[in-house]
Amino acid sequence: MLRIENLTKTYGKKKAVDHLSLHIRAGEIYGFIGHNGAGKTTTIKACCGILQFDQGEITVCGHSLRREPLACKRALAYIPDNPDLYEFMTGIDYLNFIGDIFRVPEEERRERIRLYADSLELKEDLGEKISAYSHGMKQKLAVISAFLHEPKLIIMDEPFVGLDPKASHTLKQMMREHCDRGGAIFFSTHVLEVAEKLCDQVAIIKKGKLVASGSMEEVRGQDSLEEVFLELEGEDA
Amino acid sequence: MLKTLLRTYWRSMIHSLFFRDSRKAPGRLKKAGILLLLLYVAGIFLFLSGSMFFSMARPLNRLGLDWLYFLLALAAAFFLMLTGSVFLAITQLYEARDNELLLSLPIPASLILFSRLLLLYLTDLLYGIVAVGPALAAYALRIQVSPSWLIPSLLLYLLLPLPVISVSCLLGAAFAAVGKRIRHKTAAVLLLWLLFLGGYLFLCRRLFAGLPDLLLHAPRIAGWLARMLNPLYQIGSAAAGNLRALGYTALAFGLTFAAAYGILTVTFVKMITSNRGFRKIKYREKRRKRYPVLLALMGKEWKHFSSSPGYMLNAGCGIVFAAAAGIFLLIRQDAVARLAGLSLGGVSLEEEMAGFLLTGLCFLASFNFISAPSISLEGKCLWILKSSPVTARQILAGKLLFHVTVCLPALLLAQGAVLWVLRPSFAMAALLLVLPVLVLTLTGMLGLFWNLLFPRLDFLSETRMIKNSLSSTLTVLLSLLLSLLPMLARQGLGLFADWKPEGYYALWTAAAAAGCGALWRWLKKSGARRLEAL
Repeated sequence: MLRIENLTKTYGKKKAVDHLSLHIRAGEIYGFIGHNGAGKTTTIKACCGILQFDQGEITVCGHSLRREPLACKRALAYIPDNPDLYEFMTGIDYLNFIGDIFRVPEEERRERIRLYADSLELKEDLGEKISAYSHGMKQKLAVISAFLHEPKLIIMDEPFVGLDPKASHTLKQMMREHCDRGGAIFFSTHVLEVAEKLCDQVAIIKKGKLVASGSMEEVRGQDSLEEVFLELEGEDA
Repeated sequence: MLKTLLRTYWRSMIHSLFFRDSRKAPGRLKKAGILLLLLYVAGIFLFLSGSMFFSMARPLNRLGLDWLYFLLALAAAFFLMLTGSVFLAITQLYEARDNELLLSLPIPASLILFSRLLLLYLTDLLYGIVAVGPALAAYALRIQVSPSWLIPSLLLYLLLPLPVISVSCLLGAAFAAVGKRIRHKTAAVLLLWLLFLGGYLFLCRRLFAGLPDLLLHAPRIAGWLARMLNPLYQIGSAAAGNLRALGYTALAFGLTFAAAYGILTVTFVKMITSNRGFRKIKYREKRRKRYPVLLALMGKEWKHFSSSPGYMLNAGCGIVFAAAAGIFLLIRQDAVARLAGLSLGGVSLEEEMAGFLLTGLCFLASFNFISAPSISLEGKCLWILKSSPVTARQILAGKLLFHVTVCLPALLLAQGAVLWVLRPSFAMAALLLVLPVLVLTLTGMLGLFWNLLFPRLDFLSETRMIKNSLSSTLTVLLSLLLSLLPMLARQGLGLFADWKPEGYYALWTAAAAAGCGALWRWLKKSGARRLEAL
C-alpha cells in the first residue's frame, strides 16, 4: 500500500530523514515512533506529497509519488498533527469542499458525513464556523474529512492529541474497521500504550534513521514497547 | 519590558516587509528594491500633497491667514491618520493574534496597551508626514523659514496623533464590541466601511471642488471659523506661532488622550478576553450537489473573501468604485457631454472621449488585487491543497478565475454604462468591452505572479498581509501604471497621435492579450513549480 525506499530529506546540512525504508501493507495499522525532531513528521509529509524530498522513492498503491502525485493523493488521506483548517468555513462547508475535491458522489457523501459525524458527536456543530471550534472539534473534523472519501491509505500525525477519551476510542475503532476493509493506516504517536494496543506493525526512528521495525511482537519481544523505545533511545547517550 | 515588546513588533514589521519566509534572509538587492519602492510610493503622495499646499501658501499668507494654512495642513494630516488607524486599531489592539499569548505572560496589561498605542502613534506620524511634511516645506519655500512657526508646527505634528489615537481606539472599540455581538460581522463592517468611504469621498469632492472657492472666500471662511469653531482657530494659530494657543491646544490634545487612555485601561482586558458567544446554529442536513474541482476551489476563495472584511475592503475596493462609476454615469449622463466640451493640452476631449473612458474602465479594472495575497493567505492551511488531488495549475486557475469572476459584474455594469452613454462605433465598443476585461485578467495574473515570487505563509495579521505585503503593493502599482500607460503614451508623449483611437487601442488590446498569454505560460510552468515547492 505504501512503500518508502531510501527516503532522504535534508534541511541545509542537517539530515532530517536518512535513507529510511518502510513497507506498509493493506490491512495493517503501522505505528511510527520516535522522539521530538526524530524525523516522523518530515517522513509523513513527504509521503503525502506536501514536502519535496531529496532522494529515495515513495509509492502509494503502486503509483510513484514523484511521477503520479495525483493518483497517490487520490488514494490517501492525511491528518496533520495540528488541525489547521479553513476557519472561514463552517464544518459542513469544509466537508463538502473535501468531498468536491475528492469527487465523492452526493449520496455517499451525505451518508458518510452522517455516519462519522454521529460517531464522533460532531453532527450538531457542523453548521458552526470552524473558527469557533475547539482544538478537539477541529481534530474530529479533520478525521471525518479523511474518512469521507474512503481512501485506501490514511496517514496520521499524532491523531489522538486533543481528542477526548470517547472520541479517541471511536477513532481507534474507525482505524481498525478501515484496515479490516482492506485499507492501511500509517500514524505517528508518542503514546506508546496506544501504539502497543493498536498497531500491527511498528517502526522506531531516531535522528532520521530507522532503528527498529517489524511486527509488534518482533520489536518488543518480552519487554514492553516503552522499555524497548527507551533502551534504543539511550543506546548512544 | 516595553523595549522588548516594541522590539518584537518592530521585528514582526521588518519580517513581514523583507522576509520571503521564516528561513531565508533577504538579499541586499531585494532590501534595496523594497526601500526604493517605498520611497517611490512616498514620493508620489508627497508630490501630490506638496503641489496642493504650494499653490495655497502665498495667497493665504498675503491675506494674513497663515493660521488657516496650518490648520488645513493639520486637518489633512488628521484625516489621513484617522483613515489609516481606525481599522489598524481594531486589528492591532482588539483582534491581534498575540493578545492571548501576551496576556498569559507576566506583562502588565497596561504595558501591552501602551506598547500597542505607541506603535499606533508611530504609524500615525508616518501617515501625517504625507500632509504636514510637504505643507511645511511649501511654506518654507514660498514664505520664510523661521523657528517661530516651525517649532510650534512640528510640536503640533508630534501631538496630533494623540486625539487621532483617542478617536480611532474608541471607534475601534465600538466596532470590535459590535462585531462580537452580531453574527453577520462581515456585512456590518462592510456597511460601515461603505458609509465611511462615502462620507470621505464626499468630503474630498467638496474640498477639491471648493479649493478655488476657499482661496477666493478665505477671509470670510476664516472669520466664520474663528467665530463659530474657535478651537480650530486656536489650533491653526498655535501652529502659526501663537504660544498661548499652543498651550491650550497641547492641553486639549493631552486631556483627550488621557481620557481615552483611562477608558481603554479599564476596558482593554475585558474587551479582548470577553466572549459573549452566539446562540449555537444547529446543523440541519441539506441536499447539496457535487461541484467540479475548479468550482470547488473558486467556492473556497469566495468563502475566504466574503468572510474577511479586511480582504474585501482592501483588495476588492475596485468593485465598489466600478459599480459606483457605472451608476453615476447612468444617472449623470450629462457629465460626459460636459467633459466632451473641454480641451486638454490643445486636444479636444470630444475626440479622445472614448479613449479617456476606456482608460477609466481599465483603471477601475486594475484597482482590485484579490489574487495578490491569495497564496500567502493559504498560510498554515496550505497542507490541505497540497495533500489533495489537485494540481498546482488548478489551484492557480481557481484563484485567477475567482479574481476575474468576482470583479467582472461591476466592471460590466460600468462598461454597459459607458456604452449606453457614449454610443461608440462598433470597433470602439468592442475595445471598450475587451481591453478592460484583459486588464482585469492581467491584474489577477500579476497578483499571482508577485505572490509566487514573494509568498509569506507565516503572517500574524491577515489584514496587514493583505494591505502591506510586497505582492499586493507591487500588483497595485504595476497594474495601475499599465492601465494608464496607453493614455499617458498617447496624450503625454504623443505616441501614435496620428492614429485613429480604434487602431491605437486595438494595438494595446493585442499587447494586453499577449501579456496575459505570456504570464499564463509562466504561471502554468514556473509558477506551478514554485507553488509546489512552498
